[in-house]
Amino acid sequence: MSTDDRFSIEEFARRYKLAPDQLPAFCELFGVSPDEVVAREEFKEMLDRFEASTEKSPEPQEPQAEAKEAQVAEKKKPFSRLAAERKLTHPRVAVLKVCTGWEDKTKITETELQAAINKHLLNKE
Amino acid sequence: MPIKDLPGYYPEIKDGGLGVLPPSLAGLFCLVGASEQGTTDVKFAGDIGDILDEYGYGILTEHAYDAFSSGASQIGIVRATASPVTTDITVPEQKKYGDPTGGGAAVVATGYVSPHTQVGYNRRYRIRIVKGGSFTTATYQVSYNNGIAWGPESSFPITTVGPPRKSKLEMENGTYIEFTEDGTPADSFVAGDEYRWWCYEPRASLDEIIAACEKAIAWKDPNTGQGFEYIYISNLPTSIWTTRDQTNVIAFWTALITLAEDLWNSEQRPIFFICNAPPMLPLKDADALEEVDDWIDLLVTCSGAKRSGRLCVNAGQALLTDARGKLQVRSDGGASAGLVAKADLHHSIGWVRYMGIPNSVAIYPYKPIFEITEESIGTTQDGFLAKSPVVPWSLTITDGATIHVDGGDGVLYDQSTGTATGTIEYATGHYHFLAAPTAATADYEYVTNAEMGPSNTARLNDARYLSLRHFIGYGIRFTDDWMMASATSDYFCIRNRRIVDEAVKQVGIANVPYVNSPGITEKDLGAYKADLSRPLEAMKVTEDDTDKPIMNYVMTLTPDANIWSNGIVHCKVEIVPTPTKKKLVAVFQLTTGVKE
Repeated sequence: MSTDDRFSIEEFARRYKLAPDQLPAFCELFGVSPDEVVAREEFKEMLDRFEASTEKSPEPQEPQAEAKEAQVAEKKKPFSRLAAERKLTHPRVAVLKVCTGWEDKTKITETELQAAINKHLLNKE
Repeated sequence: MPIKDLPGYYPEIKDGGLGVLPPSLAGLFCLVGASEQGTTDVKFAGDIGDILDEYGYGILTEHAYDAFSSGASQIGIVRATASPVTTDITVPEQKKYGDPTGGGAAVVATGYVSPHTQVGYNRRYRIRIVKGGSFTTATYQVSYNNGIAWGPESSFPITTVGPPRKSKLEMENGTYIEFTEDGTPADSFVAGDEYRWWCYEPRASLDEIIAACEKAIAWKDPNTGQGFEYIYISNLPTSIWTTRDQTNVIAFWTALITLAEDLWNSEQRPIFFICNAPPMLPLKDADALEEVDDWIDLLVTCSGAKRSGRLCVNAGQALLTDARGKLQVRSDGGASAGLVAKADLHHSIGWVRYMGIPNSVAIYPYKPIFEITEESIGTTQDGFLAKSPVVPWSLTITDGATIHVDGGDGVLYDQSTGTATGTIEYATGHYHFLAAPTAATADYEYVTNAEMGPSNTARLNDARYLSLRHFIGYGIRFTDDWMMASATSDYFCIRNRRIVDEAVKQVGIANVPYVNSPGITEKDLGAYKADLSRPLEAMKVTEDDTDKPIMNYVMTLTPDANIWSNGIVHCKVEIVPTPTKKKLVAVFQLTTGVKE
């Protein structure tokens, strides 16, 4: 695949005519930021899933909004970014990679990270 | 000249008096270990008494003792904070001999003398009654190592006059066992009875060990800006105690390797780590190892999965004297750290003639004892246990509400009534019940058939672990001075690692005057190079002295393209070390402090 097929989420959203007001919801759903670069196929897959999810719930209701809030709270981020936010030092990151099999780009939630820290670094399980 | 005026210089007593050495930190290492008491700052000690006072009696102190015994003269120590395990001391199990209803009625309990002395470590205690009777007539012996060696026959001290009378025996590490005399004093003890219990060491999590290592790495000599030459980790992290598997072992090693590599990449400061492999002996926690081969297979697999030229792993275990003269089986990494401190840079810690381990008594375990729990016997009235030879007095067969124990005499007894219920042949594991059991399970200890002999030692050696051998006429020595480096690495031995590290450090020290210099012109470069080469020249063999670390060297200095803004000079040192005579190259940066 040529490098031309990789653009930011924002750029793909513009090209595939995703409404600008839908972009934040799109990003929240997949735990990505608008400036994150992805492949075209990857974006198309995400778009299909996003459209499927919006078709199922054309009229957002109160309970679904709550579920969405929970989803936002459990937003997945790349392991490297979460580790940096938690100020984990390099040896600790290396240990977690060995024990969990995560890589820098692996998307995880903060809860998953905390559970791994408790288990493999702090032995608080 | 007062030494206090020369911080960073280490005095040495020579024939003519007090000599002052150059400020090399070679041989100065840091011991990182877990303890429940003592400072968490870097503490320097030159005497085991200081360490005992500060950190109490545990693994940290024992390994420091091993290091001092093997030649270390000054050790930096960083304590990893630790906490006791949930069950830090077990209730004593009474192994009764013969008819258990006929005596041995003293009530027994274990505990800690003081919460501030909970520094006991992973020990298996036994008390054996030599003469039975009351507190005044009975005598006992203590074993601090699960029956490998026994102390002298002693009388019970009366520590509480009572009634009832009590006798508290302190185990010299903060723990005690206390007996309460029976209402009929003569029934208190029966000759041959044994009382066995475990004492766990406080354990540090991997996070706590990393934190302590970071503190050790952060320490720098104020004069030279250099730190410890290497760091020795005496304790295993909790994760390995909980599950002794490849993932946890590799995670531990990865943490240490990453610390060393980060230090080199960020500050160009070389360092390496020495740690212990998880021991072969049962850890008393969740533990699947049942044979010597299982243990060696695990270590060989770990070695294949993770290699680094900045890690040295000791797998040698020995029966060693401790700080109080008693015998204890433990990993002998402390001795390896001490020998490295004593050895010249280019001398192997495996040199048979010079590198003795004075406090070692025997390589252990040669034929180790393993435990089997809940082996199903079912309804078999006459059969064989899966493993043999069975250790006398270790067998307990549970059959519903009935518990059969072996009395050390080849007879099985009903524990509650003392009635003989069958026989056990220790050598073969052949058992026979007088009446068929209904659904029996057996717990016992057995002596493994696989010996920790030369072939198994060779497997460890091939996998680049430090291992121990007994050389007749000399004693116990390390087999070689392996680093856990990859098969093709030049840093396969501690000697090469030390020589290159020392060369880099010495060049760095020689560069110190230039850090605040006004600048080096192209004209000055020759003099600058001569200054940096001086320590390397001192390390080089001469006609008069061939016992030096390097055969030859080449230093290449390349000023950075932006030297006038960043002051960086790229330094390449090529060394031919005396031990291996194979060219090693170190490339690093020097900062001259030249800034506009």
